[in-house]
Amino acid sequence: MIFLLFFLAALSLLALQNAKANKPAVAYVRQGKGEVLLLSLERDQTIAPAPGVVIEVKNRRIRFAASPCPDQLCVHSGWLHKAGQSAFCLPARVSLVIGTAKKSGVDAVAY
Amino acid sequence: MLPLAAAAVIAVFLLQPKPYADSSFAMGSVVEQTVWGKKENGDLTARIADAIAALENEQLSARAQGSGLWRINAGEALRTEEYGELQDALLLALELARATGGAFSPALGPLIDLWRIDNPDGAAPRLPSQAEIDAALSLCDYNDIADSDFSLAAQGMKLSLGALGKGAACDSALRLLERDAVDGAVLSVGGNILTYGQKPFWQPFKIALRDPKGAAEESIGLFRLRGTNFISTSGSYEKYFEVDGKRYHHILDGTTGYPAETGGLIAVTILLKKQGWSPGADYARAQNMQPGAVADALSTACFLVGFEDALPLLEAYGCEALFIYEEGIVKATPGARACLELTNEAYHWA
Repeated sequence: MIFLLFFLAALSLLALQNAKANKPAVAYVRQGKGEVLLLSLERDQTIAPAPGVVIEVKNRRIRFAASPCPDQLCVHSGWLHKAGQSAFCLPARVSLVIGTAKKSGVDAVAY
Repeated sequence: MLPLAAAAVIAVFLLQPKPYADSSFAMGSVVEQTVWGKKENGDLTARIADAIAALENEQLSARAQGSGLWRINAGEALRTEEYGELQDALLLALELARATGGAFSPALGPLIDLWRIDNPDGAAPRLPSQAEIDAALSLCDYNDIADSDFSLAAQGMKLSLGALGKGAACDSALRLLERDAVDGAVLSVGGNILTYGQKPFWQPFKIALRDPKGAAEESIGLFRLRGTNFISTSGSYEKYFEVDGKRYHHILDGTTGYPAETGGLIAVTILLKKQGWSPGADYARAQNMQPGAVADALSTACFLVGFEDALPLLEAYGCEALFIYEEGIVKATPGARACLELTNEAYHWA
């Protein structure tokens, strides 16, 4: 009985450890039909997925900081931080969606 | 007795290193990292991301203004002492150019620009005329690169190290991982993989190998690896365009000026196991050879020359490899076959 309890405690700690590894919030960024970029929200950074389009990550939030598009709808979407939130720049064909890194059982994919 | 055992079990769990994950953007692709280490290693992923960006922007990128490679292409003679990584990369690329009769070459910039297959600025690829290809080829001779300072003999020549940059990025990461002596790490630079050290609970690293013909989430098999390893893949499926039903992929053959004709070979994956690795003794400047760059460059070189001619190259550089064919056949060296479990019914061992 006690051994079973230890075993369960051990398992739950293992699960906790794995959950931590997969916890960071991420954003999926895609330009046109290109590859999906996975961005961690844990680290401040800026990327340019298309000419003139700047996506900024700061303090675990993400936004379109700049875009060459005429209407600037994407920039006006402002900061996003919750899983499921999204923003788009249709003229530049850039989409941005927040999710959580999925747990797949593998450490990486080689390609 | 029992509480003691319980304390021991709990201690084992609590003493396991903590995972730190990060993703960033460099070398035209996503860099994903997981590092298992102590709290003081918490900023290591950020330092690795910075080191890879510096490698790209200061040394290896033909596009980054002011980088070492950009300077060579602008007609300068390189002060090699300031560009260690670039020098190592160029020496390796030149060695492979000689070994493949120029099929693999660091001098293919004019051809790459002509085909525009790999153009990040969004310009559509195009099928050049034979005259255009001949003109570009005349500027693509790797023998016109000076041995001493890599200066270029002719105006219009242009070097590109895209075939090994991501592997070199893995080398930069490995140096930092070793300096911090963390417990373990997995790094992907656009699908080029570095595993390092040990995962918690003595588990092997599990690396899926993407199906060259399937969607991004489909794999052909699973590598189970321990310790430090490099995995690099080159394939005709990654970037291509079609004209009149004929597919033109992005791996150009320096002897013809066209995408490599590979006879059904669609991808080559190189596995380099760092433990006990030494590059072939035949190679004069082997002491500077960087394993990640070797694995990455060899994946392209082996794709270009095909299975039979690749075997002596693999032997010389101490690498294992998988050759994946259109009809689902997988040829492998024994060391690669031992590490990969095929999990996709569409693929089988030769």
